[in-house]
Amino acid sequence: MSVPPTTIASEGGIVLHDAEKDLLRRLQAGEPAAFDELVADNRQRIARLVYRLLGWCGEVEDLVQDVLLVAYRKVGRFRGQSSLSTWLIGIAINRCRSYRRRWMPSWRWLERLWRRRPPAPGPDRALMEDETAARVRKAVQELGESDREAIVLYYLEDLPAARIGQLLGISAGAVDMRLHRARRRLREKLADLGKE
Amino acid sequence: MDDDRIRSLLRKADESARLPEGGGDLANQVRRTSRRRSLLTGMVAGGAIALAIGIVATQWHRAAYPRRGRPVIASRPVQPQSPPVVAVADLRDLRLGAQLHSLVAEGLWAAERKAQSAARADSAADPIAVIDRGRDRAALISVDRADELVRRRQFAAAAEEYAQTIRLFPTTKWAAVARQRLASIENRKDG
Repeated sequence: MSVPPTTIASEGGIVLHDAEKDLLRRLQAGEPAAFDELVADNRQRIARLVYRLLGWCGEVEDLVQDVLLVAYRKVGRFRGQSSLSTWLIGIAINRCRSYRRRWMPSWRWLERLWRRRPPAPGPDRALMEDETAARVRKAVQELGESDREAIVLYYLEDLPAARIGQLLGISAGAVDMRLHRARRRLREKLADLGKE
Repeated sequence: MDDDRIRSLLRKADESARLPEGGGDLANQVRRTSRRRSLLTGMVAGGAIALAIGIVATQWHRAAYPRRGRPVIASRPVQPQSPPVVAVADLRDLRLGAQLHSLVAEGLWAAERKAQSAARADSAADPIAVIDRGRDRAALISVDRADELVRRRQFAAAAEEYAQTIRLFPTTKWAAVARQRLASIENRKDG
């Protein structure tokens, strides 16, 4: 994400650019158009992040609405210590954690049912690719919650370790450790996919 | 498997998982949900406050106006049952004795019931007696209220209540009681 040329340092020393600061001011003033703008700008990104954090399944649209609802209700208390998008990512991570804690047991049960189906082998390359992708997704789903968060934010959201640490409330070193552990587990599970 | 390979596998897996499409005016949906939840929260909070006020008011009322003890209703005392002695009389005699006892008891209860209903009928027939009884009861209630005020150390109000009992029901026995208690309050004041 490129930083716009005009930037303003907020009270806490965090940099917010003009447009974002203006949007935040309008949101806090309760301007309906500002919230429409926030939704239009962030809806897709939040949906994609939620989908990934849930392991490419789950009720994404409900959770996106939930994330935006929290943002709508708490924007008055947001002091601009981070950018709006980082703040929304933080809310999304928390909502996904609560959601998974509530629903994962039933997902696991469904997964077990699904695993009983016989695999459908086929020489077709597209089918093989689908199968590979499904295996990778399953391997990520089977990671622990904290490891999966680190993997998704680092490899798919392209966030640096320091920012991930900020979002998860841990140090950059702890993020590296989670990434290391997650990579090791993925390598174990996907050992045969080592080469293209 | 190196870092780039992991990245590439993850990206391919992510791309092949199609994101479910969301439709509708999400911003408006969020606003509506927020309003609904605010309303619900307000209702729940209001209900909780009303409940708390109700509980506090009930407790206060109980403390301020304690219930009088329940009237003691006379009942037949329960006799401890002793084991039957069958050494002196045979079972036939015992059965006859029990039947006789039950017949006598029933007769006594019937006589008691008859006497009570006769007393009720007499008092109903005499309206003066009914009025006297009502007056007596009103005087008793008034004295009782004054006693309650004394217990709460509200002597001025109690003296007023006793004086009212004497003024309104001078011929009742409770007026005499009120006089006596009023005198003791006045003595207390003088002392």
